[in-house]
Amino acid sequence: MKTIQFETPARQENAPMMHESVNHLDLSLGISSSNDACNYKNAPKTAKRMISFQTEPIDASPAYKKCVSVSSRMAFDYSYLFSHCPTGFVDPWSLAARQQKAAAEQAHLKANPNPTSSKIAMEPQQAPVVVGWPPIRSSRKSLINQNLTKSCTIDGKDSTLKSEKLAETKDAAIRLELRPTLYVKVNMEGFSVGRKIDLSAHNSYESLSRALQNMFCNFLSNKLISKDAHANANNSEFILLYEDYEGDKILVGDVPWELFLKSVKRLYITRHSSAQEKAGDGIKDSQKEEANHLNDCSN
Amino acid sequence: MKVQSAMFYFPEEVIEHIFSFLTHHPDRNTVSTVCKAWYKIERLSRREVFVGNCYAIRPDRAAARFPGLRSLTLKGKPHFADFDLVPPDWGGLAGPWIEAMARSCPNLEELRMKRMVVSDESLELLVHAFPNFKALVLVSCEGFSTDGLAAVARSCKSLRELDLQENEIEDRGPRWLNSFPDMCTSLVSLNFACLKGEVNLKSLERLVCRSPNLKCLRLNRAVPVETLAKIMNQCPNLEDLGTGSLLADQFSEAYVSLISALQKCKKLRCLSGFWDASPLCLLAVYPICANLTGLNLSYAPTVQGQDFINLIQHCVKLLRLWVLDSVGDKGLAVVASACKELQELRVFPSDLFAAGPATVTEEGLVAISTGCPKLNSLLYFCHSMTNSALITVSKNCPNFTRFRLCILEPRKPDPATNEPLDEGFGAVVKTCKNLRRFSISGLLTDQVFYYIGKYAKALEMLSIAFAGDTDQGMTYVLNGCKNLRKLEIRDCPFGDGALLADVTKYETMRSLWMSSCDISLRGCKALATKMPSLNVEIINEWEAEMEENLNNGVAEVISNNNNKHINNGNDERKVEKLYVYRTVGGPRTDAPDFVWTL
Repeated sequence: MKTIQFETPARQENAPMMHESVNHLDLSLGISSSNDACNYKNAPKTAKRMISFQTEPIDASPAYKKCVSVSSRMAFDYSYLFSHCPTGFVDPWSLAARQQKAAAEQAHLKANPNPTSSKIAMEPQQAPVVVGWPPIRSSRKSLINQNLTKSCTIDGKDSTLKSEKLAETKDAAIRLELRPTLYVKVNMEGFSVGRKIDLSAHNSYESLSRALQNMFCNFLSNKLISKDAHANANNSEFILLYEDYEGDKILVGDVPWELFLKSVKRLYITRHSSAQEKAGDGIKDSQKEEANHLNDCSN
Repeated sequence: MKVQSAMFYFPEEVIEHIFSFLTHHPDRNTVSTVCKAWYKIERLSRREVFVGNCYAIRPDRAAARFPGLRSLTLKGKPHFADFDLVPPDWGGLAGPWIEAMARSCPNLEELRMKRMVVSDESLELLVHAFPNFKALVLVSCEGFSTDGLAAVARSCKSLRELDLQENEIEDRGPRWLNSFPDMCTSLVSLNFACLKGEVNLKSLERLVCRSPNLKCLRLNRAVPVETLAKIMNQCPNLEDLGTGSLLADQFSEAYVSLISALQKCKKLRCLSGFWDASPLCLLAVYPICANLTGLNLSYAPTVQGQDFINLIQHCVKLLRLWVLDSVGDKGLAVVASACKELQELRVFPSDLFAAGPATVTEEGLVAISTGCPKLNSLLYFCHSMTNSALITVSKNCPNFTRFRLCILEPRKPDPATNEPLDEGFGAVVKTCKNLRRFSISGLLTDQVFYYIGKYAKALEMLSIAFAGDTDQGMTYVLNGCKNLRKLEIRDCPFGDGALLADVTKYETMRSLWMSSCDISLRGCKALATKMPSLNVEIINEWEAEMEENLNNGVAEVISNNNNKHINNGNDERKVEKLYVYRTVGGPRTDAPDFVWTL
């Protein structure tokens, strides 16, 4: 259902480097991790549709959360986020860069208050805000806010509609929409420091692999991974593995995306030669494509 | 008389034995005031101490008086701290208490704390200083991380209870669960539902496997159904379960496994958690519903409509129910028809602004009161309420001990008559003679306080917001409620007149909180002068005002010296937040800059 809707626009857009989910992933990461800033100008006409899959990182700071969730409900040009970086590349380790980005987001929010017609605002703009009222704990307040965001995004308007829709929609779609963020660690072989990635911001192996490539090609500035996504998919230099809840390392791509999400706990990127007993060259790719095809068919 | 003189010949052990039958704290306190001998016997034999306000007494003094202490309960910040009305770093530090206990009370086994600030270092000290430490219960606390939990897990040789409720815990990774030593098999109760981060699932499974006495287990949202099923298979004797995330595919192995595991848990009485619960997972719960006495669905916005009705109609023995208002009046009507034994109901808001058809109204409350006459504890959030509904509710349920009604829009009148809700709340205090805790809201005049003062004789805690017209309102309450212990007021037009109407009253109470009212610095100073046994504390951010004066050229030295601020002449300034409490410990020594003790 929504998976299909999501993917086709990206393909039709004829801009292979700017996948919406990478946009979102960058937003989730809080950093810009690709050189394709200029291309983002064209991307977000379809930004609206990725709303369903954007969930807010639970542990993020309130200001950051506000930026991310409000911006996700607005279909607008993301280029402002990168306007201050001439090359578009930002060293992910640069704290200054992250702060600059956060500041740019805040400034943009101030300039463009939420123009969409969602009735329920994240921070209430209609009703006057009284400190400490109503008297409920902050843990419950954040549950309400999460709930409001979801009911806004699922069908845009009414929370009663939401309950009906839930009854109708398939479990797979429900689960993806209501699932909290799924940050898993990603470790590259040979590096003691890893990264974290939000799996719930993706809907397919393809988008995941692209995000990982973008993440690690900047992370490892002197490495062999090329920027070309397609080349890398066929490149057998590195293999993507995941660790499930039982602790076993398994090749990514065998199971449908939803099942993968449920069992994945960590990700590993290893060199092909060290995991040779697990997969051959072409098998991984065809399996992935098959899995994606199954995805499309079953939805 | 002969009987009296005979009493003096009782050996101490006999008196001590007699005292051991006194479990109620006030009784033991009374007994200790009879004579020196009894004071000494009582203090040496005292095993449990409850300190309702951690600043009411110095930690050293409490620890020194009761060297045999085994169980300590402490409460720190005022209640309104739950709603962000108390600035961070206000206080309520657990460190000094733990240090004092470490020096004087080596037999400490249990520590329960509410609204206090606990550091990881304090937790380290806790588990190293007390070799018999068995139970740690933290409610609404903050200041510690999962590293602190690791220290507790690692070092407590016979930890029985680790209960974390609604705390703010910094997540430093899931490794704390690994810290339970392999030989630790004594766990009876483990609750980490408030932890926001990941948990090491393998460690959790192993821990549960080697804890045969586990009765209460509350997981956090990061625990998936697969792990839950495995855990349930390991402990069929569980009585209290908080699930993790309840997302599961109908045909998945985990789901099937969960169903069979739940069916084996014949002793399960209390369920909570239900995060992200899909309707399918609720089906798995049906077989055990008939025996449930406690059900908490207040973190499960997905459980609503027909799903909720299907679930709740099986729960015929339910005593305690916590839900979100998305179940609607319809859902509450089903509760009323199915749960005849219901004693406690809490309905939390799921949506703060739009009163959609799915939220609850006064009809839901009336239905509940009609169907559940044993109801004695209520917390109800709604968008509107009528006087007639409240009158009906109080007639149906005269047994209320706790009644808290929160109408989300401040100062909202009865929509049917456009009148204040004085009569409705008045009816509640008139009929419910045992009412101990009361929270009121909506449009209210001084009249409701007249009723409270006149009828609520058993009242111990009263919470007021956006209510009243004149000082007379507060005066009615202070004069009338003989058993009042805690009074908390916000955004009411009560001024110095009310504050000073009966100053000796505050010595009979634990504390008074007033914020955004009409009191001035002059009034607070007067109170402080008249009642030296009270700490009169003001929380104020007047530095901004000072800054402004400086910019305008007024020669004013900004300093952190409280006296300069307090005594710079303008006593008419309104006091934003006032906290008054009785104490034998003198002024606080750990007060931050923004807390001024007068």
